[in-house]
Amino acid sequence: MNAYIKSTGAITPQPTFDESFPWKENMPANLRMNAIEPEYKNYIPPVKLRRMSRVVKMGLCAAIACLKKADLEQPDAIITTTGWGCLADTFRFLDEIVEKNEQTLSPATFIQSTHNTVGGQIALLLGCQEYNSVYVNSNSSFEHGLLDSILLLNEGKENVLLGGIDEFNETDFNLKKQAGYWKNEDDDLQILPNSKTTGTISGEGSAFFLLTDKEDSSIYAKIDGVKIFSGDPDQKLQNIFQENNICADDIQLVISGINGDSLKNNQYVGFYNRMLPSACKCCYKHLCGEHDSASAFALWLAEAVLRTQVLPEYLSWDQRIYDQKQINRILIHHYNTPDEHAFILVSKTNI
Amino acid sequence: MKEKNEIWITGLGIISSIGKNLSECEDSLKEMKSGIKPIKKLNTIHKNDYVAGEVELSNSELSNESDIKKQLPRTALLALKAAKEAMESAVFKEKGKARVGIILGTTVGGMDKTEELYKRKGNPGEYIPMHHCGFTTSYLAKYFDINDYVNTISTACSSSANAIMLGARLIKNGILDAVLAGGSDALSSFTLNGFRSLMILDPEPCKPFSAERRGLNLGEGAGFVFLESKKTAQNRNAKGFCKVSGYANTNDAFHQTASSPDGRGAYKAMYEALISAELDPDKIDYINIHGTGTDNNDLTESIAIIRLFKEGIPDLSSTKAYTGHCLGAAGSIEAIFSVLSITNGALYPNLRFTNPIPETGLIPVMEYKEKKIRHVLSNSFGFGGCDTSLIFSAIE
Repeated sequence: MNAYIKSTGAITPQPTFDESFPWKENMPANLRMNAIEPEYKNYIPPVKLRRMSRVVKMGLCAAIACLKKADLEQPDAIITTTGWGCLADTFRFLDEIVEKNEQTLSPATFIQSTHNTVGGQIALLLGCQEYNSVYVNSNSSFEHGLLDSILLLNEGKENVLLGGIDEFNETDFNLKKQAGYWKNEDDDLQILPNSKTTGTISGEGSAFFLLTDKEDSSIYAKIDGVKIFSGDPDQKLQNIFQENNICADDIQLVISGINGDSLKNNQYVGFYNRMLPSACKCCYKHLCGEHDSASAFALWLAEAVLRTQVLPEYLSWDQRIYDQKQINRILIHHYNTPDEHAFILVSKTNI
Repeated sequence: MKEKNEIWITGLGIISSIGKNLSECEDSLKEMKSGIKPIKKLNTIHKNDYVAGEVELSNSELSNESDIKKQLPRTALLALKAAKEAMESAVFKEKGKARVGIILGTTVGGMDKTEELYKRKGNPGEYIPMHHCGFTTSYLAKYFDINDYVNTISTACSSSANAIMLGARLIKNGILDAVLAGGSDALSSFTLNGFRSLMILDPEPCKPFSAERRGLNLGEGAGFVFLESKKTAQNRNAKGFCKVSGYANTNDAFHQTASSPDGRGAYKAMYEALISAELDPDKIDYINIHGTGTDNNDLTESIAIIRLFKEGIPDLSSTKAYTGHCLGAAGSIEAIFSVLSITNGALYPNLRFTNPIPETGLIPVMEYKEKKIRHVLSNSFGFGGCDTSLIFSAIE
């Protein structure tokens, strides 16, 4: 299995798009972390831009930037992943149905509400007629996209453009607020892993990767394994160790999906203490907010850390500065109640 | 020579407007009974303006059939009914020993629950877990205790064709031994109003591939196939209905909703599916066409078929005149009809065909006919240019 990260492109609540890593971090000021959007017109023809919803722009622009960095015009396959899809247009159309009593509705809103809008628009802009799929499996959507990318590379594709996209939406935010998804405004939002309160903060983002089957000197990260499962994480981690012929000490860094929900914290902490006692612990949801494709942001961070060998303090689990030892292997993990987990194992390439 | 890792279909399950199980659907197909009728259940002001392929069972009847107490979205109830039939027909008891996955294709997911919420009847606590597409898949996975692989696809109207294709690829690559793959979509006010806003709904029962076609009818339903490797099936002496011999997923890359004038994505999907099945075009005995009944699809699909098959156009028909367009479930429902064509040696007709499209002149099968069928091509094309073709072949 050979899957390398050739290039990335990300529009997130951090300056991932315009600045090089490590950037100066934005910490959450309230319960919503919104993406820092670039000047889209530098990437997407203005005529097309006018008709696009925000999530489509974020997706398309990150995808184009990613391909540009790889100096590639067309990928062999496009995979987009999203938990909730095009929320703004979905709710806009639902609003219209009610407000206009099912009369004279806007077709553009309906068209752009489908989950494959971003993937379709990328294909359209590039004129790419190749494989195009969309995974919408809640918060393991991105990991499923990554699994299929690896499968496609195994089947002979030379590269795959993979992205994770979810957008913030006010209606969705308020519904989830009523259901107790978020913290209270006056909770301490800065200390996510050590939080004593339930709930999390909301976020969004778009992160794209060009994955290739071949290593070259511009590549720093290789995907060593992806596991999506329910049940005992200890056993699955052992499996991933065996498959890669490594042990717990070979993993220098864990990038954890811990989201500050005090009801979940112990699950994470207990697992890492048991299975990965010597690894540095990092988290990222205080940087991008909770959203279903947030692991795409985690993979973006993993690639950046492997490339730069810099581990900024703001990533650290407990805000302490780790010894700057060589980071060769990173485990990305997230956990979802009651017992669903996903792992992505990433390692540094040798060239 | 290394023996090819064949993918067998060993279980089938379906619910649609023409029947609540496989044998009812089979009978309706043979008796040329369409499920397109005036709208009865869907909550919309357009009830009297359009016809649709509604599943006869109500939500409470579907819940009772499966002995479910919880209020589930209709997409999940339809999926559960069809998936249970597929699992029962596969009689797969090797779960402990084999790696089994589930893949669902859907477009609206739990939209009906979200619509209830909008009408101030729902509880946001229910909306959150049920609205997104992964809910039904995760529900089914728990119900059948399938946990080696659980995934959901949403590529508009090709969603469940892609679910079958992905299932086949996972088995072919040795990642899984068996996969329950299919699709489910309930009718919703959201989709009815959406297709209405696009002005591609025929208010009367649709006439796919006809010169006089005026648009599509929406339908609802679910279809599942149980896929496993030939080896897994043979080891447990399971009967294979047929095999999945070819597949291809391409993109038209022309327009968000309209297909290119020459149907280039459709052509590429059919062409690459034939390559993947290692079959020449003349080996295809029947095409279950996408055939929605819209001006654009039927014309461009015809052009692509003529370009690929030239003088040797196989028998073809759109079964959407029976079921309506079941969106995310269409690919799997039509995959099951394709399997039935092979196992029954039957050509199911393109109901209500009037006259051929002047530009292309293709004439679909108009009456129920019997003949030996070895290879069927099934097309599923969707918004976003997502085109997928599957090939099913008889087990020799």
